[in-house]
Formats: sequence, C-alpha cells, structure tokens
Amino acid sequence: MKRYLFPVLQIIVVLGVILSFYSISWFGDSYRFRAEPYDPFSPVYGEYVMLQYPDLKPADSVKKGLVYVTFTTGSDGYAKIDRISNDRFFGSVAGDYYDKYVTIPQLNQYYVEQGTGKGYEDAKKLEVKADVSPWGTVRATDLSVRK
Amino acid sequence: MARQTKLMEWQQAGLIDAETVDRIKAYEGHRQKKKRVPLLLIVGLTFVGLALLSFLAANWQAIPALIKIGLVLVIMVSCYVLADVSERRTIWNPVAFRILGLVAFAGALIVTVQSFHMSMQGSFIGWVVFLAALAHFFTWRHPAYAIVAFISGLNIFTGVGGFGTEYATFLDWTSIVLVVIVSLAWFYFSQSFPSLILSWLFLYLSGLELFALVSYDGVLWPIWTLFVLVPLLLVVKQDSDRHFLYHLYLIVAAINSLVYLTVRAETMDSVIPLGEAVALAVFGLAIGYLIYQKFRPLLWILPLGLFGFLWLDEQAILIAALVEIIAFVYLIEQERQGRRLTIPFVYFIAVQLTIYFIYAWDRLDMSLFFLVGALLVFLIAGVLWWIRKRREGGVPS
Repeated sequence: MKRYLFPVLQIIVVLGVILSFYSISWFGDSYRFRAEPYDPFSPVYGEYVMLQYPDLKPADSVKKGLVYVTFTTGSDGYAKIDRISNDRFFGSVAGDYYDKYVTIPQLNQYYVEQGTGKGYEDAKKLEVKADVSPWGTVRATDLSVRK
Repeated sequence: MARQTKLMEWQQAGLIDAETVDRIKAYEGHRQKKKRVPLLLIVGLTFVGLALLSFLAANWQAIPALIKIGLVLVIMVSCYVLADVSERRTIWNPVAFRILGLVAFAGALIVTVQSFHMSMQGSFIGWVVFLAALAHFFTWRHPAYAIVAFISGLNIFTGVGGFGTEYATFLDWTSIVLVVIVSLAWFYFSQSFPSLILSWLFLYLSGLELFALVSYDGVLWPIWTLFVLVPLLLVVKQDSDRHFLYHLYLIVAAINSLVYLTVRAETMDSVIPLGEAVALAVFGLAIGYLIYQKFRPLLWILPLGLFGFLWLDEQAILIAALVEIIAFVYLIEQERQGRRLTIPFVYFIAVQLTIYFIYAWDRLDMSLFFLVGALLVFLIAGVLWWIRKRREGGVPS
C-alpha cells in the first residue's frame, strides 16, 4: 500500500487546493473592480495581464506598506474600499500599499488566452469580477473590457 | 551472417565442436528474440505522443480548469504506476519514475493555481513539493529524492511571502521556524550524504534569512550562524560523516573570510556596534571550548569570531593580515600532518589573489607584473615540493 500512498496523498493535496479556491466563491461576496493594465509582461508561466485598480485609493491617514482592506460596492456598481487599516482585522484582505494604489496580490495578474494579452493592454479600460471570502481570500473569476 | 560463417570456420578448424556451436546458436537466437525491440512501434508512439502534446498545448486555454488539472494528475499517477511496475519486475528505474511523479505533482499545483487566476508568489507550492520529496526520501532512502527536496525547498527561500500569508518580505516567523524544524529533522534522521550537507545548507540559509526578519542590519550574521551550527555536529552518529562535514564548515568559513575581507576593503560606511563585536568574540570562545573538546579540526573557523573587532579598521588591513596568517599557518600545519593539501593550497592562493586585487587594483598594470611573478613562484614551489615528495618515496597527495 505504501507504493500508492504518495499519489493518493498528492491528489488529496491538489483537491484541497481546488476546494479552497472554490469555497471562496461558495461562501464569499462578488464584486466588480474597475481595472487598468500596466507594465506588459510575458514570463515563462504563460501570458497574463498585470492589473492595477484606480478605485482602491486609500485615505491619507493610511501608512504605506502592508494594509488590510474590506470592500463594498459603490453607487456606480464597482467595488471600492470599505474599511482599511494597517492592522489585521477579521475578514480583511491583505494587500500592499505603495505608489498610489492598494495592490491585492491575487488580483495583480490575470492569466489570459495566448495572444489576447495585447488586446487587453490596448483596451486600457478593464473590469475584473472577483469573489472575496469571509476569511479574507480573493479569487478573480473574469476579466473583460469595460463598457 | 558474419557470426554463422565464423562459427562454421571455427568448427572446421577444430577449435569448437558441433555441440558448442549449437549452444552458441541457441543462446544468440534466444538473446536476439529478447532484444528485438519494435523500433517502428517506438517511433510511431513517439509521434503520437508528440501530436497529443501539441494538440493539448494548442487548446490548453480552452480546456476547462478541472480537466487540465485532472490530466496532469493522470500523468502523475501513471508515473507512480510505472515506478511500481519497474520495481516489481526490476526493469528500468523506479526512482526516475517517482521523481517524474513529483515533478507532475508540482505541475498539477502550478496548473491549479494558474487556472484559478491565483497568485504564484507565495511559497506554498515550494513547501508542499519539498515536504512530499522529503517524505519520498524517508520512505525509500534514495539520495535523488533528497536532491529534489533541496531544489524545491530552495523555492521557499526565494519565494516572496510566507506560509499562508501572501505578503511578507522573505520568510515570516512561522516559515523560518518550520524550515528550521524540518531541516533539523532531515539532518538528524537522514545521517547520510548528501542529505547531511543539503539540510545543513538549509539551516545556514535560514540563519541568513533570520536577519531580514528581525530587521537588524548587522553584517556578522553569517559568522553567528556558522558558530551556532557547530553544536549540530554532536548529533552526527558516524565519525566518518562528521569528518566529512568538517570540510563543509571549513569551506563555508573560508568563503566567509574572503567575502568579509573584500566587503570591508571596498565599503566605508558599514559599522558594527562594539557590543555585538564583544558578544561574538565571547560566543566564539564558548563555541571554541566545545570545538577544543570535541571537534579539533574545526579550530580553524574560530578566528572569524574576531572579525567584529577587526571590522573597526576601515582599510581592512587587520582582516587581511589575520586571513593571510591563518591561510599560511593552515597550509603549513596540514603539510606537517601529511594531509591532503588541495583545499589549503586553493584557499592560500585565493587569499593572495583577493588581497592583491583589493589593494593593488588601482596600480594594476604594475601589480600584474608582480602577480604573474608570484604565481610563477608558487608554481615552481609546488613542482619542487612534488618532486621532493616523490624522491622521498612517499605518495604525493
């Protein structure tokens, strides 16, 4: 049995990772984020678009560096910052605040079909649909051109 | 067939009898049957495989995430099945298949993370593959798994973000503690090479990363770490293993000494608090006592404990003098004891070259003249020493 213990365990690990990603959508809230592409990038892992979020602009009182945020949907239908703090609080998403905007690592890049990256980068006005779980993880589900 | 004619010729010449000829024919016929690989089948299968792969690659983005992950998992499982088959029938190499299985496992995780548009920055994948490879090592005790574990474990150090958290510079406390615990266990329970060296390197790297974590910008961290790791030799069970590990300590100490010498000579603004210099020297004394009692050959790493004080001299002349003396005394001492001189000699030359380039860089045209002269003198000395050794009838080491 020892011989097949490893493949079984390893499948369980991969399934666990998949489940953890799905559970973000099952238990989380969906938001639409206004997004802009920047810094064209095509590494070995496949083509993806680097994204920044103009709505995620914190107040001046927030220090640069590690930040924790929660989101809410604004009147225009796009997500904006609900609460932001330099200290961790329950349900918050960890992000990094440098330059002008808050960056959420899971929303930083979006893998796209080979050859379509340039199109998104030229379109400039993009939107990202993402689910945010109550325990503070984020999963991007869709990238499209904003109308 | 050439063999048939030869056999006939030998039989006619009376070299072998008819019975032997039949036995040879039977043996060769049997062997040929076994060896007859359907070459066309292999070529055909290769092409089918390539076609399948390129078909998958062309449609990769269009395949649903779960099917993509499933495909890689199927590859992974078939690697383990092949490993099992090869082990039972003692053909091929089970270790190679299991390593392919581990690679497929890493691939499955990467595909999963990508398909769900998650970030690749965390050290999660590095951790999981590292632990899986270590578990393979402790199940089958094959050094190849240890090397896979080392390579995947390196991703933990290079990956941004700690265990679970996405954002942290280098490693966070949880990761460091886990890396140290796992590496210690790896070191203690393996008691074989190359695991002893690889786990030791992980411990050393964790020591170096600790500095980034406590954000204390000291320059003596590498020496502290090296000293702290000396008591680790107490848990090495085999004497021969311990003697081999001495080389690791000595080589790391030698590299450290040269790096410190170069950095001190080339920088002006880094300062070490006197308190830390004193603390390091005192700690060096304590470790020195242990070394003196148990691991005499390691006494050579102790002068590093003085580097805190020597750092005060901005021109690095004190460090250069100390390193020079150590290199020289070490060389002579090893020669007197009739040990192998390769490492002492390489270190001695490296010290000379480092000092030369640090202090004579500005006057390189002139100094190159002396450098070439010095190298010639070394060469002549080496040749003379070798000749003398041969004349004395000893085996040159």
